[in-house]
Amino acid sequence: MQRRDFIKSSMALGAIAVTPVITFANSESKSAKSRKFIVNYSFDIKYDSKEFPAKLWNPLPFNASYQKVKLLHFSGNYDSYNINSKNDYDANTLFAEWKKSDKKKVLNLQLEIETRDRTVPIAKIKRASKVNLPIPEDVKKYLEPTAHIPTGGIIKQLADRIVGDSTDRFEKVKKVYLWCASHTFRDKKVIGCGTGDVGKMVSQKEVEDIYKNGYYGGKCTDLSSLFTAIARAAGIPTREVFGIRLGKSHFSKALGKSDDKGFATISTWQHCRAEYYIPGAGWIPTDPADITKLELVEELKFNDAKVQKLLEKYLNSWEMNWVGFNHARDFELFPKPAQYPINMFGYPYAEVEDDVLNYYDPKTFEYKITSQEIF
Amino acid sequence: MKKLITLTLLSLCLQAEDKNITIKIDGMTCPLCTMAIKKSLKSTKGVKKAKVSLPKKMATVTFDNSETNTTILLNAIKKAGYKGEIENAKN
Repeated sequence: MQRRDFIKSSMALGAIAVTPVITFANSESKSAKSRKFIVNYSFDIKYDSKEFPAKLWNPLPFNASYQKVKLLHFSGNYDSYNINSKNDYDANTLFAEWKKSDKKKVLNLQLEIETRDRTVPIAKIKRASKVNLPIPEDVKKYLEPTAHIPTGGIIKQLADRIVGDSTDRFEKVKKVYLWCASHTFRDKKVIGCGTGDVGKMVSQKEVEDIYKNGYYGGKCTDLSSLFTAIARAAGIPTREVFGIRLGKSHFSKALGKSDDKGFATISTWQHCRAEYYIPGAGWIPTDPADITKLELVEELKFNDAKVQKLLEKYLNSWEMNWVGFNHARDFELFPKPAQYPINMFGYPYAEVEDDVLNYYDPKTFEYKITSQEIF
Repeated sequence: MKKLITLTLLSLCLQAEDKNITIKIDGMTCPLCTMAIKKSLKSTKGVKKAKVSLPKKMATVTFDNSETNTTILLNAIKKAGYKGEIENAKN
């Protein structure tokens, strides 16, 4: 497991309107050229009554070789707060609570993030896959189903049909990835990133019909979850990685953009990717959902050269104009909210008593997220 | 004085129409499901209060019996995309 511990350099516990500054522990080695982003969150929580209490859980990035939070700073008029990862997936969380009052509920959060493009070389993956080492105990949970990621029934039948007689892990992954990318499309009518409810997506009963004719619409959580469910059912530990795009993509404006000064308002730029695990090679980045986004935004077909180029690239890499928060599905936040389990934690989550605020709508919630790339 | 008595009687009469109901809900998988169901119930004429719990998979609704009924409430839940079943009803 990658190290994601927080090191608190300064913290004024218990005060109202505190301004803690936190730096994060370094972990792995550096490789590609780095990019730096200053990300600002501003919350001003709204509700349909004058006096109300509020609780906010905001996802924070994890640290890895390809992304580091260099600085975290927040302030606000909350009555209490904590930073924790007390949940089944160690998802880093900034929690703040406001008592019932007619005052504004304000929190401002600033993160300085350094990223590096992430690639696991194909040769390394192939070598590791051939050796066929056992799956480590702490990774085995990513073979298990969750409420939104079924791995039995029709999904298992589909996984078996897709991988056929392949026994090599990487060969299986390639087949699942290719099937998902070519049997899905980005549906712009879906709200936010989608719910990633694979059981609802795959409603047909006949596996041969799904294998040949299945064509599933959704957004990134839906499509990453479909990949995750099928790959898990094929015996490959796989997980979604929830995060947010931070700025310009060097591959396509479909995959992230900013103005000529590197600034972007990213309140609705949450994006879910995926990772699969091959013992000896570790967690390997992939992003089948972005293939469909490229097709939609640039009006390209699956067989077009640019789509095929991204398909090859995203089998084992991520462009890091994005930062990951966690890979948590169907779990309980800490402190425990009134409504649980939460489906995924890529968006800010807030409750007023037992009312859930609509995190897909930053303007009613209310929050704003911006990113400034530092050149 | 007469007016006050009439108003009091009217108010008591209206209160007598209030009914509390617990509805078991099938298909909720995330916190936003509670928001969608609550919104649908609250936009139903005659619903005075609605609470939806994801962990309990339940909705509790207070409504004016003269303005709506359990069939309409179950339809409101269905409209939001979920299946409701009456657990119990109390006056």
